Amino acid sequence: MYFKYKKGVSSALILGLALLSGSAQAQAPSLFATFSQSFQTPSFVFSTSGGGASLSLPTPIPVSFQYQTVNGLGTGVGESVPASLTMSSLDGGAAFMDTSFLVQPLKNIEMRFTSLGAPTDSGDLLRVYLTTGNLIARPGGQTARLTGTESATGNSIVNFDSDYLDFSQPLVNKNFAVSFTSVAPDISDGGNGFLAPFMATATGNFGSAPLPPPKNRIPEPGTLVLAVLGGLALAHRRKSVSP
Amino acid sequence: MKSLIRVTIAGLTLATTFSLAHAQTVTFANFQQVGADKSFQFLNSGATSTFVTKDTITSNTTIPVNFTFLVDNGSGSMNTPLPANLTITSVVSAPATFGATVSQKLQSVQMTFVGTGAVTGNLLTIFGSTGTIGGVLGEATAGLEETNNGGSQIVNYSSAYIDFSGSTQRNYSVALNNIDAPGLANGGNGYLASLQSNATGQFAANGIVPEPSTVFLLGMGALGLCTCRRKKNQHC
Repeated sequence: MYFKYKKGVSSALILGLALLSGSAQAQAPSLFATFSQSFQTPSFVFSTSGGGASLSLPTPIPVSFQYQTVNGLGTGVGESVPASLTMSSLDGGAAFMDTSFLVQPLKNIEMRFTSLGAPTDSGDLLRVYLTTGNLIARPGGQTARLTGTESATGNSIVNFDSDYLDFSQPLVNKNFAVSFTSVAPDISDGGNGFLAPFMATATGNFGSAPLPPPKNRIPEPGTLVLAVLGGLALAHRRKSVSP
Repeated sequence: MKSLIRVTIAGLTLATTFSLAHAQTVTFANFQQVGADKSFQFLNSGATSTFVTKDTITSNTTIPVNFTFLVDNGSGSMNTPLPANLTITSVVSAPATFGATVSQKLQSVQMTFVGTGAVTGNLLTIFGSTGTIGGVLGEATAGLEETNNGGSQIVNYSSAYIDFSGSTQRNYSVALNNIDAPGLANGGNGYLASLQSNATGQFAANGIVPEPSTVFLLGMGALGLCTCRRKKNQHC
């Protein structure tokens, strides 16, 4: 009888683990964070020098950062968190024209969002590192986009890290998109193999599959009790059904 | 009365100088999606394909967002995220162009942000005669954007809180991400393949001022000052 009981509990646990594993393998990426500049100053600078080019923030800028998933910071989903953003990158080769877009490849793209708000007033909300990405814009336009995707079809390697989300588990379809407006001067070919220098303001969003869980998350005692009770109920049911 | 006229003329001169000096656009507002539903959808149906907002569960065409004014707008809500409802409608204008990237042209692009919290009404309505969805094929990201060029590409804004009558340059950019596998793709019928995505975005213009009520209040203030000065002179 003891073994039957134990077998029932084990089956319930295996079933639960299989369900969890199944959801972790889902391939559809989900949104876990967004940001927007807190002020309208065009702070992002695309510049060329010394035979190279970069898109960066010369100084950290204030942004409004939002987790779109449960996080270890203790803020609600969609709640605005004041943060400081730093960014740097290097060119990944010459710009080229494709369909109606000028595409400027970039590499070593790093973005870091550091919390400026309560309760911790410190810590990195999100760190992003891409091996490669693309700055895409239409000639004559005042808008642009910086994007990267790590997937079977996307070519970037995207690494996320955070003090409040756990990125230690394997993730797929990691991606991010940053949109720029107020681009000045208008987008054009710089004539030196790169886009012409410009300044702009930005918003952006980040996603992956599955959603990263909160960091340092410890299941509440109530959750553990419910899980055990569920297991026991399943075992008991199996026991009463079996001849 | 002479003082009032002088003050008014000085104010108008300053406002005009300010507008002309700021021919460069400033990003005056942005939005972030609330929740993670992939409500920003391109629905491929050939020549009648559309890019719209549509909740994947409820099919509601209006979705919740946080909308932020980055400039003084007369509502006292500058730099404060405001709860709002967003509706986007648009239709394709031509088949897409495919290369390493894809460029899908749209027309009649309309986005409406209606305040649902302390600040209500028309926060911002965008009407674009054209728009373009584009990105790198195979990636999970894309963008919708347009720049007003006064000719074939018209972007117009209206708002209960900002007066755009002095604006000559306008542009917007919406970043789309989390497009399901295989990412941005060819729909096989000449148009972009259907997609569902998340989004953030921002809007820029030059020559913007708080809507007329703010100017009216400034005028009243100037009138008050003049009256005070006049009374003071009479006492002397």
